[in-house]
Amino acid sequence: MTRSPLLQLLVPALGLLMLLGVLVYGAWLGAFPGWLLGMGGCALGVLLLGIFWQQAGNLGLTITSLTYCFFVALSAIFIYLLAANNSEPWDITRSKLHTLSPQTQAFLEYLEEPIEIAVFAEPREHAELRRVLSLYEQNSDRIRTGLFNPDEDVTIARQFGSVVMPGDAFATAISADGVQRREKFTLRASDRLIESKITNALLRVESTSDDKIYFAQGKGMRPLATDENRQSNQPDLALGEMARFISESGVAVDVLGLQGIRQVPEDASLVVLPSPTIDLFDPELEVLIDYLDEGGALMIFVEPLAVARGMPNFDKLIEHVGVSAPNSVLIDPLGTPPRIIHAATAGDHVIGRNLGSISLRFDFVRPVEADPNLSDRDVIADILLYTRPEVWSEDTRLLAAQQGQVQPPSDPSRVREHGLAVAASYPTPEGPRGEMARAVVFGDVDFVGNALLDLSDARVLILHSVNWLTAREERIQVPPRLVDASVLHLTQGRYWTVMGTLLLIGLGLLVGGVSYTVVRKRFG
Amino acid sequence: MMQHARATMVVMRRDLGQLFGTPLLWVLMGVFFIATGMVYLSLLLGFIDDAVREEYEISVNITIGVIEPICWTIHFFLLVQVPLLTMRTIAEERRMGTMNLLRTLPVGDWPVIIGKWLANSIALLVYLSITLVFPIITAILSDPEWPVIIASYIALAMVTFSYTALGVFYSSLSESQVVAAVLTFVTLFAMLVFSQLADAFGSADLSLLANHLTFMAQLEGFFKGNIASENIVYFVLFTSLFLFFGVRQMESLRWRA
Repeated sequence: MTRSPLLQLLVPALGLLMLLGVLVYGAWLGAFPGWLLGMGGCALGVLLLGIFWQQAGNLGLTITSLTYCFFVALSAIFIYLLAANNSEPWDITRSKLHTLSPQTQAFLEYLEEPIEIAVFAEPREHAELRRVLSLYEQNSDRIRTGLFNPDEDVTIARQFGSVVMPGDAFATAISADGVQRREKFTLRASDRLIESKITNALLRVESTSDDKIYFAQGKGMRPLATDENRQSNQPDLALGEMARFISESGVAVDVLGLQGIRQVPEDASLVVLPSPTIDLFDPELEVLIDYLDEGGALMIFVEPLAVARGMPNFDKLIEHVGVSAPNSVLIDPLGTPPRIIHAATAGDHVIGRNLGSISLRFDFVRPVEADPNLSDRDVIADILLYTRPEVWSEDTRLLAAQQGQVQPPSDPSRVREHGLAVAASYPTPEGPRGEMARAVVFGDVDFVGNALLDLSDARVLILHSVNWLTAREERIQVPPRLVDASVLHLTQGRYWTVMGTLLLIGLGLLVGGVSYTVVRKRFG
Repeated sequence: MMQHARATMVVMRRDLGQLFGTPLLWVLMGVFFIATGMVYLSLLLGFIDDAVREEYEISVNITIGVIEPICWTIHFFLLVQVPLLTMRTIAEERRMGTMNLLRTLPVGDWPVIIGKWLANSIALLVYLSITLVFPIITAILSDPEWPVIIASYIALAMVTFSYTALGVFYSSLSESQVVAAVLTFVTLFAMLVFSQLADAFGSADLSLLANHLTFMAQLEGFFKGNIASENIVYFVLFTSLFLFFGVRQMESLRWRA
């Protein structure tokens, strides 16, 4: 075909116009759907054809060459897409930041119900979120994920609420009986807590528990139902809210009358004793100890007692699990008033290991210490929560006599960290209920009362305790994955040395290299 | 085959001698090394500030806080170095008429393209090896993760191969070094900003496309210590494709009117 100057000008011009049209239309539309991208590709092809035709002057050979290149490029894209679809990432970081944690993997392994995770995010976050969500799908065939743009996928967004913003995520589980449970949480690609947020949401929404928790009643213990006759200025100390949120996590809750009990029900995974004020009778104590020795679990709340006689049988129950709880009150000089303990630091036990410094409000709290020697069982007891080191304990009766006025003790050894809660366990190898008896003892019950439960991190602590007591450690919330912290040994001298070294190398390259070329040119 | 290999080595040695025999490469290496060094020092000081404030718990890790940003800096400077180095690879030969001499070699165009590509790549790899000073200094002062450093440098090497392949191709398109340099730089810069543009348009399809097309997305896995085989395949294919285009362009010079 002979060269026509007009045609050789028109073809690239047409390609350029088409390309501009695609860009302008896409900008106006605010999106580049697939068909528009295809048109853009064609426009680019026409433009290139025109340019090369101009240079080559031979249309036939130009088309042949371009077609050849086009098919090679297409093959390369195909090979790349094949690799992309079959790619297995390899995490080489020390902290395994890009791999699901063992806790998450363990939880996914135990997952029985299917769960759908829907994440709404801006397009620029999709790559990272897609990578993380695909890890969940790879580790469990019960997980299905969906990643959406709330501005584009409006119909889908409406299924989750009238207003769905970028960053909103939803975990939905449908149980065998058709009941749908949904958990909303926030998720950002830049969020380093991304895995713990997703897994903890799955934990909250998943519920395949056959466990049943009994709240013991009688013996002056805190009721579940609010006392309607209480005065309006008195705080609501009932535990109904705690029982409700435990049942929402998928565990059945019931009450157990302790008075005259002969046997703890067979389906009891856990019995809660919310601070009795009347001592146990000997048969009641035996029933509870037998229950523990069968592999049962107890969650015990104690309170400082103003009574002179104490509760020796109840103390025996606590000592049976290697815990001592002297009848005294913890005093924090910075608390307002001093009997209020605000801050608590979690110990190394699995219940509190990811809680760090949690926010809890204890009002009138009894110290609880681990002392396995008190028990004749092979007890392992760990302190769950610690006070600040400036705290001391005062005898309850003395405090009452002083009308609440406190002075620091003369003996400085009394001022130290105290335990606020203890987790204890001992083996019961032939126990019909389980192979391990477990107990958690808290030095206060008001912090989980209706009035104070939502003012702190008490819910998380109770949920973790329940999961541990019912031997469901894999359901304890996953801590955020933290990288290893690095220490940089950079003194001022080292800084100047580094700067000098770098400048030396840089200038050496510059000056030395240029000198070398000059010398080489001059002397051949 | 042996003949092709020998011809490739001849072309490569010749071009290497030219590259190291002219001031341009040394100036580029010296200037960008000093610039990278200044960035590195400011990263070290910034790391100490973050550690003291404990504001960004994650950035109190030397690999994330210093090594990763310095690798991005080295990559960014490569965007400028590559066009300047590769612009004269073939364009200058065409302008001076020495390309005809090369084309008389009885071994085809592949050894010419590969030889020139190798020469430019080796020159830049020499520069990259000098920048290993930064992770070495970091290892003396702290405890970075060497697997991530090695992966990052492998990625920088692969991206060097890819960029020089692109630069050699553009150099073959024109007799003008400036046009070749501009085309290379514009293409590399466009791939850099394409992902940002995709985000600005708010299109999920475009973002997905940008994720697969752009070097940023492919490099991110290496720099963060999460390597996928698709990233390696991408660099290999990109390099091979543009070397192939370069050879096709050289062939087309024969049958042009």
